[in-house]
Amino acid sequence: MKRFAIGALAALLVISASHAQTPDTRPPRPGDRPAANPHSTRSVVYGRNGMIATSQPLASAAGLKVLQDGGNAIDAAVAAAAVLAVVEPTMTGIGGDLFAIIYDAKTKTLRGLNASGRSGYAATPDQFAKRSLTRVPNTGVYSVTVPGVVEGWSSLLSTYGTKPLAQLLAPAIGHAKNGFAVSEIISRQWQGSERKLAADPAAAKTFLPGGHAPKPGEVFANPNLAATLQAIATGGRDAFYKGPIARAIIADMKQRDGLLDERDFAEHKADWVQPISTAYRGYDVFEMPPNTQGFVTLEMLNILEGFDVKSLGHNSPEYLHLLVEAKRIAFADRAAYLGDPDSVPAPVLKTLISKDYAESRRKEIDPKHAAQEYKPGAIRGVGSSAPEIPAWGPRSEKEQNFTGLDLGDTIYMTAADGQGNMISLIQSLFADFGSGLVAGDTGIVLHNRGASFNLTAGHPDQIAPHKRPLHTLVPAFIMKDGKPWVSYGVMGGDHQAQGHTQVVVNLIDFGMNIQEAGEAARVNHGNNGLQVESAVSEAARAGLTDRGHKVTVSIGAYGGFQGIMFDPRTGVLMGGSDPRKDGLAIGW
Amino acid sequence: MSALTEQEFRVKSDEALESARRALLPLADTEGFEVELQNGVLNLVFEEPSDMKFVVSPNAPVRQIWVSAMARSYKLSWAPDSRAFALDGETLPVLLERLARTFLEGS
Repeated sequence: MKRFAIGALAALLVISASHAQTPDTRPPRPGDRPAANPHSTRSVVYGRNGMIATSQPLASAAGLKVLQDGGNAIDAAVAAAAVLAVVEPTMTGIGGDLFAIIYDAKTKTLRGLNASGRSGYAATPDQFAKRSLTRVPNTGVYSVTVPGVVEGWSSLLSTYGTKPLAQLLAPAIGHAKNGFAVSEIISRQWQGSERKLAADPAAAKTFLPGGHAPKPGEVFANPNLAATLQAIATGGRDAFYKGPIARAIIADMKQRDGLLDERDFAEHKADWVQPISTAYRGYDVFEMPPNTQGFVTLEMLNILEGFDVKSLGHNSPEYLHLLVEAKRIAFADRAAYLGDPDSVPAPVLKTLISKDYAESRRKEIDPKHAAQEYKPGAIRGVGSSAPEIPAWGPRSEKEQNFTGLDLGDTIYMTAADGQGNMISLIQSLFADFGSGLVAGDTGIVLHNRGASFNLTAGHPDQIAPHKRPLHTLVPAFIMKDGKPWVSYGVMGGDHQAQGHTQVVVNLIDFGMNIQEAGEAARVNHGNNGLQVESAVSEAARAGLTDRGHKVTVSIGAYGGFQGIMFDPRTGVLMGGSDPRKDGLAIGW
Repeated sequence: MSALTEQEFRVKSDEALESARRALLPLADTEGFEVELQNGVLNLVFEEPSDMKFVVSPNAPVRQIWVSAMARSYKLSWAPDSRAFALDGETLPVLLERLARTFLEGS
């Protein structure tokens, strides 16, 4: 009690001395920094030759080594992503999907890679009806789509890489084969998945050594995964999609009545796409097009741009209320319009990220009261006969969120090199340990991304053969005056779009540095109401409650940020990494 | 696309790296950089005008030789007509010598 009082007093003194803000009632922090950035616990990492930020020190180290050995940002990213696929098995793996945005210094262009997998050709709505399934299950064999990660790595390297996949996989293979010490946050998640893993004999055998999840610091190895990665190093992406690994996965899934076949793997390919963007207060914010939820961030930013967010104050109840209402509007649109790229007509996407549309939706927000609910916006589709409101009708707000389904799930990372190339990359299993299935003796956890399909006839995200599901995954990027500024992302399912928006506002409206912007307290809205971190002041919480929000203080609902900022004037790279994760930014 | 088998690729890429090494030795001697062929990978190691490494690796699954130099990539495929690995008509030794000169003169 006494310690708390002293800590609180000290915090008050520092804050009132350096920032004339309302007194903060946040609990004592681990230690007060002699620096002018109250929202962060550590410094920005500076470098001039290369930078990498990931959620694991082992992954950042692998990427740094590649950069120092003359590789570029894309090489470093693949090496680090492969390490993450081994050391964060709760979050990601080669049984999952990948998206990336690349800034290519040579051509001065941004490009996006959609390496998400598709449903099987056999995945017709009838197949689900035949099995008396009223929705696509969250786990198990019907939630599995073709994994896109390996094709993603291969496409990144064949287009931008300078080093062969075999060289870049070496650190990941080493960790899988020889074992690595499990990190704190991953161990905690792993322990939470014990029951899920125990339900599948192959998963239990692979991931519950001695019947339990590894404790922090305990050494864990996955020799089967090492052998699989070695086969990919030797045989390339074809070993995964057309060779022994595809055959092993398919054989395993057939035993479980799965719907994927050899053709689904053999035909899988990643697509290069143009990222979508909006201008926010003079900065160009880029996200990925459908099937990702990238437009949600852009729509939220467009709505917020009409308010003087800066004068409302960081994490003030007035700002947070507008943020949450913008989120609720954009999520109503997400639930109505988002699905496979071919299912989202170009005029619909264009409207959703337009300033005019945001202006019309902004008017629906009452600054004093949370709305009962928001409906999707009325958008005319292609052709005059298209209905104004989607035929399948708006969904209840509860159905608009993936709360609970999107726990754990993903890694976000970013890398930059001294020549000006940058990559923003995200890679995921969707839920913790994905579908909960390990395919035979491959050591691979299969993801459950198919669970975000629905069975609503006519909906853009209705399950259908050879189709990409709605994706929460999205890497992001910000340009300023046509030059790269920030490569960043926030993993965390539904939180991603909300986290992206908060980070952009932190950077642009509140002028935070790259570490602070990712570290400052965040909020998350979903089916558990409005969750806030403890550093959101009591006054702000009360103000939000007054406006009708169901506010709870909780931990673990705010994803994980990594970011790299580039100063075009000096060429200096600045890295930031979220303390909500185990990782770090490092450069030189 | 070349139609080399994996075995053919391994033989030809080994030969290509070895002949590139020999072709670069005179320039390396005059300009003072190292050329090392180790574990099937050819490295050009510079200390002047700054620390830099060019890495030349066979990439068997895609039957190409990949050159990593100054954060850029150069992917050379087998050109049956000239019986050499080449990119836009430039063979491996020619490309490496050009890149080395660019680096030495450039920064």
